[in-house]
Amino acid sequence: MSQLELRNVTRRYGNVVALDNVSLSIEAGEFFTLLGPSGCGKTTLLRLIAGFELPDEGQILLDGRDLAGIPAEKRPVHTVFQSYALFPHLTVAQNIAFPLKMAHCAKDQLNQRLADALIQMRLADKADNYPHELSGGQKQRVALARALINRPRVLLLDESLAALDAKLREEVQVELINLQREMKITFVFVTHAQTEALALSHRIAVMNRGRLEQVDEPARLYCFPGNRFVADFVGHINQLEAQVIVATHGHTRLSLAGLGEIIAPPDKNAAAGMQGIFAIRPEQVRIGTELTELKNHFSGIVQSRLYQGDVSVYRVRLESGAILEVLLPNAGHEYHAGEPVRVGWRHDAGLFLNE
Amino acid sequence: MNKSWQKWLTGGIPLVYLLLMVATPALITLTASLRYPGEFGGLAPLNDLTLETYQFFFGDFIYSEIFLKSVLMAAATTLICLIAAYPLSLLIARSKRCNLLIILVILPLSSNFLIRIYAWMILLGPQAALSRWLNAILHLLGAAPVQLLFSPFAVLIALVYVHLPFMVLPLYANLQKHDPALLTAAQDLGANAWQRFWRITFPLSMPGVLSGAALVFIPVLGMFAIPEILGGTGDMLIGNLIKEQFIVTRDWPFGAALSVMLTLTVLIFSLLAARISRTGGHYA
Repeated sequence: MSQLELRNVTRRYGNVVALDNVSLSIEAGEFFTLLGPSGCGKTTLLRLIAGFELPDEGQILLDGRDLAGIPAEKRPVHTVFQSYALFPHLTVAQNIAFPLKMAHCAKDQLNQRLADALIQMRLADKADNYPHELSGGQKQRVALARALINRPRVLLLDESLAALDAKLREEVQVELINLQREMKITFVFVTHAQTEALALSHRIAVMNRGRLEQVDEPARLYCFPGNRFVADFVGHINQLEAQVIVATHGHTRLSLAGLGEIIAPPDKNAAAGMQGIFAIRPEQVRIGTELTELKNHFSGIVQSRLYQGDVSVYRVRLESGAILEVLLPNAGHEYHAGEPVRVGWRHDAGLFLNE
Repeated sequence: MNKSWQKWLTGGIPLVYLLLMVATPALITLTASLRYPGEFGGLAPLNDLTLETYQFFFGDFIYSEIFLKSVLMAAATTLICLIAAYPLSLLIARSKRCNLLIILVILPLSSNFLIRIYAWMILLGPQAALSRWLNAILHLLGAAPVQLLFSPFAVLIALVYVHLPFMVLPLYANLQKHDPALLTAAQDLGANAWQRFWRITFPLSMPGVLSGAALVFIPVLGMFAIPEILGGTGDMLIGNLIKEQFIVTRDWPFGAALSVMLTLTVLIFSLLAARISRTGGHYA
């Protein structure tokens, strides 16, 4: 049985449907991420689980128990807020001990757990400091320690890394993964940053306009996006207009608009005559003067190069006028704007999407 | 060079103001309290100084009693104002129409102070509905009738009424700055409505509570008009006592000594409040 289950949850604000018939199962001990652009309903979903809002329709079950009628303060679910919402008039120790105090935890037990949490979060020397005396990373750790100290069944993280700078964010990501593995608490993480989602999660739910577009493991989500929205939102992807010529269980033959035929991986949903797009990641495309070993290759002209240190992103204009983004490591040959090149990709790369 | 000139100009104006309007009068009052009274009021020619007035003050228990009574009256007014103003300020701070509500709180201040006090004289008078209903109820219960006007009760109710806006304004200014996310977080972490108030809202509002208390307590301690108009003969406060020394008894040195004592009392309470706000004021 899953630990957290949403059954046909709908939430409306006036005429706006923030969540549209969402059903979801999250397993115990899972690091689950809700990913989507702002306004997709991911934060609303979090607020419903926390109990700050109630669903208009549907049920939310925790360990098989319906959460309807249980106020936020009685739910074994805690949140790490984007702004951290640390209590400014309380010290680090008082902040972290707050949930235990509210639950009328016995004094010696409280002190023991507080001491453990301070050591675990490397905050022992900051115990008597006030939040305004802490750095961003320390505030983040206080917020985490406070939300975890009385071991909630589920920890909700609302864009919790957004306020940190890039370097620190990477460190905190590693810490978060370790912490989650150590404590075995179910994490539900909300973010609009797809790299964060891919790096942290066991499973990701991509949301758009109040609906779930796809729920999958990071690698599957990246390699096999279920539709154009997911393909576009998770990572970069090239989209070329395509029509199915033949679909067999071995391969799919597509006709790319203005370019000609290509061989694509098999797709059991594809059928001859179907219109859609052929989507391929920039790192799957290669550039060269001779690409005869590849089944799919076309000529084009390098339009621009975006140097990023370790890699370069080339924008190549194909004969059809379509632009193809190509990601190459900077170790090999370099191409310059205006240079005529061949671009190609393997017959088992990319995928056909018709929606 | 230019910088220090600017510094003296910006800092100098308040400095001159404070010297002229606060330090000088305080010094004049202090020296006046150490002089002998003039034959027909005022002050005697300055020949020598004396501590006679202070001996007189501490020699008769009645003056300390009036001081104590005034402090208690001021404390009661402050407490009632706080209890009455807190829910009101909270309501206004969380309301969408806070500007309108704040104007309504300030509005009574725009009418004349004495008119508002005389209005209470009518409201609390023996012929007014309030007194008649109250005495009718007391009559039914078999108790003796009471007089509302010219009583400590009348003084207290008018003191609270007049000073309520001065408690509401700093409280509101403080409460509307509170981050609502803190209450959401507290609820999320298991705090019920009562715990959220006592653990988060109230401690965070301490600076507002203290400045409101100062704005009520200090003026009430020196107030003489309200006890004069609405109080009975026994409801004299320090303010009345001082006024009487200067205008009726014409004993200026004793009036000045009482003023010095009043100022010292206010100073002690201000220092106390500053101490509390310093120990609890780690947050901005």
